[in-house]
Amino acid sequence: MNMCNNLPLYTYNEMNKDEKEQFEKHLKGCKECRENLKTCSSLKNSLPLQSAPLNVINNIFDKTTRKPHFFSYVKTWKIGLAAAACLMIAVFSVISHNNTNYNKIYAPYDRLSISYEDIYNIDSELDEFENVFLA
Amino acid sequence: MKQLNDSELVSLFKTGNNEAFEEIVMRYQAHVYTYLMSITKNPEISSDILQDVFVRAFKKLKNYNDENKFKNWLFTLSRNMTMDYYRRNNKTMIPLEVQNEDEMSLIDSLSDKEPQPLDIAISNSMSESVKKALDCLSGEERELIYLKDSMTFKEISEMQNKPIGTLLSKFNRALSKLKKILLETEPEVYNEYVQ
Repeated sequence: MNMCNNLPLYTYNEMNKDEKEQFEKHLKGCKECRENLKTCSSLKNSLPLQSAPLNVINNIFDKTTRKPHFFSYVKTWKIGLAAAACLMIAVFSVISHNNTNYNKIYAPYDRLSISYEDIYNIDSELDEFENVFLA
Repeated sequence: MKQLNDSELVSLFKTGNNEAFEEIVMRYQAHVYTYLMSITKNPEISSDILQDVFVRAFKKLKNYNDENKFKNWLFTLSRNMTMDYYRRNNKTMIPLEVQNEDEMSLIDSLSDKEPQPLDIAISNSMSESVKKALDCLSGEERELIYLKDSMTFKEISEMQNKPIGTLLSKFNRALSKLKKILLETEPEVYNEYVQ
C-alpha cells in the first residue's frame, strides 16, 4: 500500500507502534504528506458534533424507557385479575366437561331423524318377533 | 453508568436496566444526529430518523449478541433507516450500495439540493468557509468524513463492507479536494485553518 495513503491512519492514531515509526520515517522525506497532515489534523479537530434537540431526546425516552408498561395499569387489580382468571378457568372446565358427557351420551341420537311413531312400530315388531322366538 | 463502556452498557440493558439504555442514547445521540444531518441536511428529518433509530435499537438490542460492535451496528441501523425513511416518504430509488465512484452516492441522492433555511450549519466552532467547502464534496466523501468523526477506519470498513485501503484513498481524495476548494475560494481562511 502506498505510504501516503496511510496519512489518515496516522492522524487519527490508528496505527500500531511499528507502523507509526515507519510512517514517521516516510513523513520526514515526503513534503506532500507533511502539508496534508496539517489539513487532516485541522479537519480532525474542527468537525463538531451537533446535539439533537432536547424534545427529540425526551421523545425517545417517552417511547422507550419511560413508556408505561401495560401491567403497570393493572398493578392494583392484580388479585382481582388473578381471581377472575381462576373463575374463568373453572367455568370453562365445567362447560367443557358437560360438553364431553353430552357428546358421549346424546350426540349419536341427535343425528337420528325418526319419529316416536316409528319407534313404537319398531318396538312392536321386536315384541312380536320376541314372542315368536320364545314360543 | 458513565464509566461503563458500550458492551457493558448493552449487557446491563439486556438484564432489564433501562438506565443503561438512556446512557447509550445520551452517549450517541449527537454522533448519530450529526451523521444524519450530513446525509439529509434537514433538522426535522434527522430528528424523525433519530427517534426511529433509537426506538428500533431499544426493541432489537435485547436480541443483539455482538456487544463489541455496538457502535458499528448503531450506525448501520441509522444508514438503513435513513434509506427506509426516504423510500417510505419520497418513494425515490435509493442505491443500497455504491458500486463505484461514478455512481450516485446515498447522500447525493438523499440531500436536499436547495439550501435549507433551517440548516443550522455544521457548527459555531467551524468557519463557514470550511462548512461550504465540505458541502462541495460528493455525498459519499462527506459521509465518510462525518463517519470518521465517530468511528475508526476499521469500523467504517466493517460497516460499509469495503477494504480500508479504498476508504483511505477516498478520504485522502476528499481531503485534497477540501484543501483545493479552500485555497481557491479563501486562501487566507485556509492558511489560518491549518495553522
